[in-house]
Amino acid sequence: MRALLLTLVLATTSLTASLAQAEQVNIYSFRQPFLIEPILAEFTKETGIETKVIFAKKGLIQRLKREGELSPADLVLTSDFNKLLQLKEDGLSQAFELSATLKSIPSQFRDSDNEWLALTKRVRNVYSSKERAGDLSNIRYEDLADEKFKGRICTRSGKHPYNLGLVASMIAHHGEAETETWLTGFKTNLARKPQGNDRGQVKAIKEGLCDISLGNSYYLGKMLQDPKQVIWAKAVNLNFPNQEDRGSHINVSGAVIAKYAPHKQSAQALLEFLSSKPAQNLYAELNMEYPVSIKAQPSALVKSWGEFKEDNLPLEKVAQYRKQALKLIDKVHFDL
Amino acid sequence: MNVKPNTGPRIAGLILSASSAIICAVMLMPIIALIFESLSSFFIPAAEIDDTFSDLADSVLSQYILNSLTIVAGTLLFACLFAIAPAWWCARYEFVGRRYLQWMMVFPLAIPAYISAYIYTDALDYAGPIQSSLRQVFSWQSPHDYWFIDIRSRWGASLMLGLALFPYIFLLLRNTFEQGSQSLSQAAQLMGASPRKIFWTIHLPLARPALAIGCTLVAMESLADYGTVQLFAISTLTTAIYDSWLVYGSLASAAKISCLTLLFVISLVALEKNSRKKQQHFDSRGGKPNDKIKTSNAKTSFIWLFCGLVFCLGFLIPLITLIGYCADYWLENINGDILRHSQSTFVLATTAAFIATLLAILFNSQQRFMPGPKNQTKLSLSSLGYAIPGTVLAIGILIPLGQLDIWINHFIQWLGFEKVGLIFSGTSFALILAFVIRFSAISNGSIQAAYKQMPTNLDAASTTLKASKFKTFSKIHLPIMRPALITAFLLVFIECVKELPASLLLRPFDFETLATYVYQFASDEQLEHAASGALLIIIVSLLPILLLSRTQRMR
Repeated sequence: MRALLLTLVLATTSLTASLAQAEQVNIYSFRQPFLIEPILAEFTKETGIETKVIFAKKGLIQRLKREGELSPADLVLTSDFNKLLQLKEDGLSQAFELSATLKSIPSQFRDSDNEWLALTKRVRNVYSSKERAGDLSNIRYEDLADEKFKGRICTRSGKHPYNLGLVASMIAHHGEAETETWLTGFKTNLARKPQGNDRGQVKAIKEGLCDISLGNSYYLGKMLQDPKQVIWAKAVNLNFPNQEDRGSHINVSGAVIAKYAPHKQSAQALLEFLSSKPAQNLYAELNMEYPVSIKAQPSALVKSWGEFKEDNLPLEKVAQYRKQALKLIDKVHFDL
Repeated sequence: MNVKPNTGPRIAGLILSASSAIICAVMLMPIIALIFESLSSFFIPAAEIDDTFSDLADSVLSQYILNSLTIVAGTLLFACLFAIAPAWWCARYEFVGRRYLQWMMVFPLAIPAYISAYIYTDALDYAGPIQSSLRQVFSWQSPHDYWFIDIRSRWGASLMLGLALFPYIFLLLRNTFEQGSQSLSQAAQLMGASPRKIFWTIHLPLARPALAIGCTLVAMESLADYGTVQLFAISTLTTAIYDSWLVYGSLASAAKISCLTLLFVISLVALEKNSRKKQQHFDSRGGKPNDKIKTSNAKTSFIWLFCGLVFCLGFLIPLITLIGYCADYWLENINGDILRHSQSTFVLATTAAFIATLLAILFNSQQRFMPGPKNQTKLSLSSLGYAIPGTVLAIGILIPLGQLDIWINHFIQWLGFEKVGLIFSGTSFALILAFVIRFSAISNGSIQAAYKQMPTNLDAASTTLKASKFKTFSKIHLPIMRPALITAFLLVFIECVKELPASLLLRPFDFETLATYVYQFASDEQLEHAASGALLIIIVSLLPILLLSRTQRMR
């Protein structure tokens, strides 16, 4: 009888042990897995929690909505703030516990209701040709519509989240009418129809097609690491716009815990991990992004690009104009 | 003669027709779900009025429609240019290497349009290697110093889509030309018609059903394309669908635009069908198969020159570039997961292709045995999925399947069991369903073309001999259709291997197809780092083509 009981106890403990092993967190990611895999691997090593990822650039929010309460998603990772806000607006997120680690992230980079959290910052920089553009360290986004840049600017699609965010911030600062005039001027200054990605614009500067372009800063770091792209990177200067006034436009990548997360504890654990100093430093080192945590440091290379002033307008204030921004971009035929 | 009414087959027929109706309904489910969703805003008053559609209509929609139409027309033009003549040569002439050439012309199918588009835009861009070296050689300084083709234009996109899609038309036409009537052309020859005149007045009109089916497929695919045109920086109707849905958050206007494109496809198909309504042609193949005409040396070299060029552009250049990428970024490309991904891709594509081919046989043979508007409608409706962009189709599938899952879980919990989760929408089931719905048009098309060629008096003869419908089907139709069946299976298989947008959205956790794996790099314009994955897509798609060319000795 005793043997029987013992076996039973053993069986139960081994079962719970195997269950504990099977602990996991399911991630819906708008960011490419190869960008976050090293960090997730570190998380698994530290906590024993397995991570599973589905990546898509479009439609994940719709999938989440459709799956409703049965959704397997625990955490959603986004690459821009508009999606963070949209997730909250659509009631697809839930509040996380504001622990000490999460408090190390400045309050403008987390939701007042604790429903979303930024993980990294990226600046919308202006790249300029070392040879042809001269010193543009005082450039403002507003200058992109200036006649002196006629036929000299390259950019990716105006509808890309990064540009959309910038246009939304212009509306937040200047209002719709003024932004429309600016966007029209910007459009007439383009050297070619918006196309390609941020790296492609730097390549175009190297080849002499245009003199300045919009691009996130971490691409410069990435290009410097790539044996083929390093010559593009070396042809340009990185400028932080609007340093004399409101500061450069900031976008963020971030995360929310899904409303119906089946593994909420693990999701919280991952959130804590991602905002902890070691993971923030990993983001900085691997992806050349700016960490949001005040405890972490940008990589040495990123630091060498200098200190800069950030636009401190709260992200919610910017995100509310995302639809108007898209409408304006369509209205001035920016991409056509 | 007194034929006894036989109840057995009648019941079987009823079951078949009922099941095909159900299958057809399932295949239409996503479209119905989308329409329903878009209409629901009329019944449930939203907080703010949704004016997305009218905003788009005011600003960019007309330009988008124009772009879409131009790209469809351009793609059709290029695809016909690349397909018709080679199909004719391969079917009617005997020349050195014909056996190889007729399969080589199918190879471009193995390269997804988004990959070749990536490679060509990269190469032909202002900053690309070709223009850069031209500038160095001629010491040009700026784009104003010389003229060069602008690859990121509507014609560039059309060319790329044409190169990727022409094998559909080629395959369908080659089968048709090969089975085409010898006696008619001999008669024409006797009356002194030139070979050119025989082609234009006899063979091409005879092949019109097949040509129409091929062109419809190409038109639908180019209309629904998103990835390729995006690389070319061209906004089309698909752009409007994605924008209004994913950025404006207006499902209603996205559905409106989707319906607009569907309407366009349906009217195009109806127009074509209507214009050849009165033509009915079957060739009563006069016994011997057509003999291939031996070509002169000059003609042989011309054929090889033309087809070789198309082959290079559509297959060889992208392939070599990919191999080059692979060599340049060797370290990034060594990855143990890739083999696992190819395995899952292979299984998934085989399953979907098998189901799609079976369904195509079901729908087409029904229309054959019981021709009528009802069966014709079923056949046409089951092909509609091809015209819907992948992401939209994926959401259309998630709507009903997600609801079904929720009901099942409630039911199971009501019974007192643990909930089972997303057993339909969260598993490979959803993905296979998406593939079957999206690519049934292709299998339907190739089998339809085969049936169009098959004289109905064969059926009549078989019925006279008191053979049952099933026997007619299995002993007569199936053997004649065999090449078409294989073509259908193959085309759907390849399409499934390449499919991207629906796979991205519908795949379960821990499940990657080769295409989704490659996409995470390509979406960041770093295809170089996943070139090995792209090469595997090509190999997996080529395998069935190569196997076929060996086993199926095409005359």
